[in-house]
Amino acid sequence: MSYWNRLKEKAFLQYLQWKTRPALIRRYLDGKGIKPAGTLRAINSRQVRAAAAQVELRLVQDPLAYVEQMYQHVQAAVEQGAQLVTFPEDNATHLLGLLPGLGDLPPGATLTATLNELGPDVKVADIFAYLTPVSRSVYFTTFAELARRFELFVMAGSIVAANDQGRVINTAYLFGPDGQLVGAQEKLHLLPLEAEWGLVPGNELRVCPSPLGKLAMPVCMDATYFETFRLLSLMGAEIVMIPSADVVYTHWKALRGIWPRVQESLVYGIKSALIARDFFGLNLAGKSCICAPMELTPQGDGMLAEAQSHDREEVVVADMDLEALRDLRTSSRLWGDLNLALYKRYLPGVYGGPAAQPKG
Amino acid sequence: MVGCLGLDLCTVKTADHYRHWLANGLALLADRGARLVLLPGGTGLAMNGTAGTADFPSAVREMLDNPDASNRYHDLHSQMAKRFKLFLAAGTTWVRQGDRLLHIAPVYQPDGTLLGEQAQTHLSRMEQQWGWARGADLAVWSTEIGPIGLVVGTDVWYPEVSRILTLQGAMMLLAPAMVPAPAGFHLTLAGMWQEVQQNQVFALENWPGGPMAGEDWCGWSAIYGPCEATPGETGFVAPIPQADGGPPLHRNDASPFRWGEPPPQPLAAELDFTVHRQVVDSYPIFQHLNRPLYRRHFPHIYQAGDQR
Repeated sequence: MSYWNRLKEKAFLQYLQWKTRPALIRRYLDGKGIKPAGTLRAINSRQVRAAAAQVELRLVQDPLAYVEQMYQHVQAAVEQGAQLVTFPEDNATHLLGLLPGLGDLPPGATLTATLNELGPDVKVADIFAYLTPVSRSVYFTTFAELARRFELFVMAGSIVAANDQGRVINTAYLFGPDGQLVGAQEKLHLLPLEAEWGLVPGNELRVCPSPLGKLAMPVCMDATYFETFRLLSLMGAEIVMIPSADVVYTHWKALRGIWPRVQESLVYGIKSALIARDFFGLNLAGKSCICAPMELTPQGDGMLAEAQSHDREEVVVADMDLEALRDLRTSSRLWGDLNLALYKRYLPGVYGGPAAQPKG
Repeated sequence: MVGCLGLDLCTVKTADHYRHWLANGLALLADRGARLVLLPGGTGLAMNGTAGTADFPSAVREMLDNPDASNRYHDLHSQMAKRFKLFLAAGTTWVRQGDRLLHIAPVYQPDGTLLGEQAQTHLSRMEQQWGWARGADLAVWSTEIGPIGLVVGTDVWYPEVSRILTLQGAMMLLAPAMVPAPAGFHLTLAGMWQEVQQNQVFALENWPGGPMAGEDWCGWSAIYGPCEATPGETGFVAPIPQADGGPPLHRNDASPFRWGEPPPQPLAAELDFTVHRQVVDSYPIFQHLNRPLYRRHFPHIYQAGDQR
């Protein structure tokens, strides 16, 4: 790239940073007159109230439109008494709209076709990396301020952004009622499409202790793999939040993620779904939900609350009884056994190398 | 073509009943071209005619105390596999190994020889109280249909089992079990159905239904596949569940199956491994296993968790 082009690129980025500066977001939220929710003043581990936001992904050319959309969801959750609010996967992708021209693409235009026009070497990850200083600033300011002003725990969903080493990673963040970052979780299992885009997976799992219980937030595809929830459960997690973005909703396909993981690893599960109509040719759909081990649900179906629709914005709310969960972990009729000798014998082999040859 | 033979314990109460049920059912399935048949859990008890015994542990003890029971069980299933020229996963029975009581699932080959036996490796709370021991092996066997693994009884709710078997190459899982009634349909969705989805394999599941040994058992037979390889993307090869996600509730011409009762007719289906290959190629779940993460934590973390 020529010196002149680098200069133009840098100047444009600085313009975007100015356009999305934190002071602007704070001033906007000042105008909302937000009062603390008060829901964390008395915490009862028998009744932890969570809200899962179902959020529409739409490109924004004004960062305050993004702030407003997120504010509306937190406000709706607070009105229902939530102590913890969760958001979907890719929850800062809206901000791609800040790049000139992206919002003007014709219906059905795909991301790949758009990139092809930029040059053969440009990957989707490059776009996210370029926008990282801007998107991280808007995302962090928005959610830290919402958590602080409402005095809530907010799991802000995940953001695709470059880390300090320039690796583009899908990471979910949790903010506490003081607006401080409580924890971060990188996505550990990529979609084939994300791998094609140039994203890289994380390699650590974390549990965040909180007054509401032990929280964790693996990202979307991580819930396809039992290992994620098994590890988290063994690390002490009690509430596992899944920010999610799926291309198709069907009852059966949706059942392949968080729901079975919650059953086999005895945790509460919260899924926040991202929805979209023709986002670069992609339609995203899903039902946000709060699920629990079957023994802890009134209908015995493992579901405490589920969105009414799979293609509209909603907020889903339910109460979780952590004492009942702790009891269940020591008393479940079916789940909770371990066969350490078996795991020691087989797991290093099956995870360590190529598949063994069958007998016979 | 593979099949499940449902066992209605209301009608199969003696050794003779069992023999007739097995011969008639296998004849029907063999006529339809089945090359592998899964019987339900508890066949060792059902065949022994101990169905009327007051309680389940006593029935198992009574069967084990009968010196002929084990030989008769082996001989009958071996003969049937040979007669109908198919792989016969003969449900489950119990054996003593020293002071250990194991719940095992034997598989016979079309020549009548024993392909192998798989012991249940995880125990429910009740099974622990009954004094059962955990198996220590998980084997995958080559068959002309493809590599198979057995997920015995409670193991179906322990994802480690299906994962170890499929990472060892199993392309088809066979799950014989006995499940006390009443049981919700969600129990099978949290078990074999979802194991099939997260491991992208086919599976056969078979539970006997009706009263036996002082318990009432929930009947169920099903053949599962990855959603994308099944009709309506339900994950069910057969029977077909309700459109809204509920279990098959009513018997009619289209579906003679009803949740909680063993199917009145053998369940058979053709497994399309070509479509299966396409599904795996288009979405290779195992390619994205995070092996470095797992290697760092497994198996040590189970010990830490156990001591928590």
